[in-house]
Amino acid sequence: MTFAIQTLIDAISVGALYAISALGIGLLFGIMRLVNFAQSEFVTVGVYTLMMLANAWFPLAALAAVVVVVLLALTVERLAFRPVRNADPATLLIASFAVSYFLQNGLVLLFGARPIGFDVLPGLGQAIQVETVRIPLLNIVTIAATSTLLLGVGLFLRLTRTGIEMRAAAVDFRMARLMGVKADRVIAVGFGLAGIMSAVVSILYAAQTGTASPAMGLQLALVGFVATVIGGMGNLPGAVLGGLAVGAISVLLQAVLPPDLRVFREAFVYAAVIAVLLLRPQGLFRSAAERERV
Amino acid sequence: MRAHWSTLVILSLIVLLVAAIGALGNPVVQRVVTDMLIKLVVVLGLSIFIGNSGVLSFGHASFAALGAYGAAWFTMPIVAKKLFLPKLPAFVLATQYGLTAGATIGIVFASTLALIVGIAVVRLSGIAASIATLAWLVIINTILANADSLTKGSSSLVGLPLDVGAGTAAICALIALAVAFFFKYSPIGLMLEASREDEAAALAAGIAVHRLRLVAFVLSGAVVALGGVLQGHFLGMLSVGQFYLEFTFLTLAMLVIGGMRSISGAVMGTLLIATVGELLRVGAGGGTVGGIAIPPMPGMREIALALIMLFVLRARPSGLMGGHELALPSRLASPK
Amino acid sequence: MTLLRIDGLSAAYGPVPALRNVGLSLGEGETLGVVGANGAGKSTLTLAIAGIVRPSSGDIFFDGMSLAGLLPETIARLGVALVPEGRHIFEGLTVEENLLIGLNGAVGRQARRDALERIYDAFPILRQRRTGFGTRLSGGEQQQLAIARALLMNPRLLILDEPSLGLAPIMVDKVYKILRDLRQQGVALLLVEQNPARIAEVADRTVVLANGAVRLSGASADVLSSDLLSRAYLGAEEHEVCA
Repeated sequence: MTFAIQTLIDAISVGALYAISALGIGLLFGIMRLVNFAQSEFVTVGVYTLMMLANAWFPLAALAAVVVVVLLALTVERLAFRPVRNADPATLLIASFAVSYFLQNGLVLLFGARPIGFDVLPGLGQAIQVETVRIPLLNIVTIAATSTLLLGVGLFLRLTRTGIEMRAAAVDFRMARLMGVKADRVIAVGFGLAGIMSAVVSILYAAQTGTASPAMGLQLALVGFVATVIGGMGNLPGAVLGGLAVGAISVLLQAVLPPDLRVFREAFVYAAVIAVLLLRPQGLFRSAAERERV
Repeated sequence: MRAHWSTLVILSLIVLLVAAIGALGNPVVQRVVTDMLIKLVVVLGLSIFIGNSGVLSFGHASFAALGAYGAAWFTMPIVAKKLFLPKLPAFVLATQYGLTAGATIGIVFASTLALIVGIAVVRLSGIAASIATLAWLVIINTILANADSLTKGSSSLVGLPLDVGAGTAAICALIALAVAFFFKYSPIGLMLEASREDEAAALAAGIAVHRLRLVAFVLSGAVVALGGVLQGHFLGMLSVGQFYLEFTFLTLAMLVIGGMRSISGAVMGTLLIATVGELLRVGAGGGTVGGIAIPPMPGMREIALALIMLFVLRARPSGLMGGHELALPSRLASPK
Repeated sequence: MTLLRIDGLSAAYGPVPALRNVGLSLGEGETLGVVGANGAGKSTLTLAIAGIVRPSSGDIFFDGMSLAGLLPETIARLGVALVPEGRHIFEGLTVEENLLIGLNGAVGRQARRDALERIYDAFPILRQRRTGFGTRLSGGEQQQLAIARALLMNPRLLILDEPSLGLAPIMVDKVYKILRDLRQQGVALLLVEQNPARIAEVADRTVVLANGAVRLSGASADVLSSDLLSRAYLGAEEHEVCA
């Protein structure tokens, strides 16, 4: 029982991080059919910012990470993606690959390829004991921070005019434009949101791993794509649920697989992804009927 | 659309020209050219599926890996195998074949797996198919990286015979070129082309899109596997990470930057990016320019390469060739 | 007063021509019908006016101003609203959220509320379903939502692409009643239909497209009763004018 509860908490905290990654990727994919590989570097750059400010007051470092990553996201949109916005999705994809390659190697150039260890909020390493269950403080903070962020983004998307426009653009960009929704604005807000979410992910991820390395964001971005697709493209709540599901499945597999199969965990997770795609091509969290109507 | 034979001739001449530069150049040039021709095999392989079906695949690096390891299990000297991969099955440990036989085994092995995953991939459309191939790449990478007895896991496998030079690479590039050309203008290729424009209409016209795509997927996996075999026997070593996302990115970038809708695009994109990449390697590797010592700058080459790619995409969003083939004016060439 | 004028408009999808040298004009408050067979270029024409399809040659003037090179959202904000074929209700948005997207012009909470209320008065079914998902409505209700949403943009020109497609006859009656009312209110309409049966109920003049070109044009009653109509649908090559 104790083990089950601990695993469940692990699953939620990993899944929550994946869910936020997926939401950022799903938003941009829905709006501009961009599979944004560069989101992995949004996270990585956030981690490096924190690393450089490791000795500064934490709230300041965190704020700096958010500002840097949002500015990075907006700059990348303006310089790399806007010129090719109307091109084939393949061209957009290669552009995002190139941006990712550029940023990742920029970090190699500036900081070297080797991982650099540092501490973000060392206090989070402790755990609280409830009866027989030991809950790491970091997990609690992760779950709290991600739920707050998801709630905030959710309220923004549901209650504000811009948010409603974002949702409309994510499901049918062309129709939204036909109704006067400004493409430039929606896309810039999308990148800004992806930046904010990546920055929060970077803070939590840095606290978890305690290192900065140039390719560390990749895993999160890969999970983000997969979660977006199995959640149902353009379906933002679906992307979030997809992220949670992928995180939960990884943690559960880690818990139940026999030790010699554990190293193959990723293979099982991604095999499950292919199975989901085949069984529910419209996405895990969307009914076939709903898809047909549109 | 009819085949322009002049396209095949012109592209073959380009390949031969590149190979000749390699044959006449110093060992460094020779290695650069060989590497370029191997990449060309891979990119032409990619174009067989991606160019004809319009579906992006992230998974083909896996076929290069599977082909390379599949061949290496049989071409490595028995002594080396006993040393590095002692847990291979006994009959594999006891045999040693030449490059041709080994390559055949590797390609058949990779193609079989391409057939299995292809059955799943071709049932999906658009981005879902692409994500399925990405998932497949992660699956194969995870398995190979942890199958120590087959691949030496995360460390490098050394001891492959160094059987591939510019000559072999050039012959294989010509073969890949011919396969891509004849496939594109075969009835299957032409029907696929039609289905790329409008899948629903093609299905309605009775074209078995899934089956056509599967043929293209397996054939393209086989050609990419050949590229993997060549790479392994050119470098003499294999590592699992060699065939992962960076490989995927670079080869896809070559295809898209050249223009994924034509074979000439695949060729020109490969030659451009590979050449620029090599020139930049010289620049970023340090050395002295005009008597001033420049320290090596790791990452600089990749940064410059990425910038060049972004500029090309910006200037030519549908690739250098924009879907056109190099050909003689139709009056001079075979009747259109 | 001419509201929309199209001169020598041609457009193509890759090598395939979709519109050839199309010319037409539409006055303030007038209703123009555009009919033609499947693939005649009707939808392409609407998308070109809305700025989605870039013409290869020719020009489109709205209220005397060229629309060449303008973004779709800019054209929409100038007062051109397109209800495209297939309605394109935003999935995952409620009926009211779908309507809100159309409210670009109205400034201030109260003005928005008032505009919504007026629409709800005109389309009571939408008021009933305001909190439900737009895609859960029936086909006819979705068409009403699509038209209502476009009306909230306060358009001077409303373009409707096949508004009766796939609807039950009773719903078609309802949609055409709405269109007649709009005409009464002085909104200029460009009404595209594949089936010309009912177009005369609303359109003052009608244009017949075939193979991307105007084949027949004139007063609706004349065009629709002309024995040239079926020839135009079959793709006759010459342009006829019904006097």
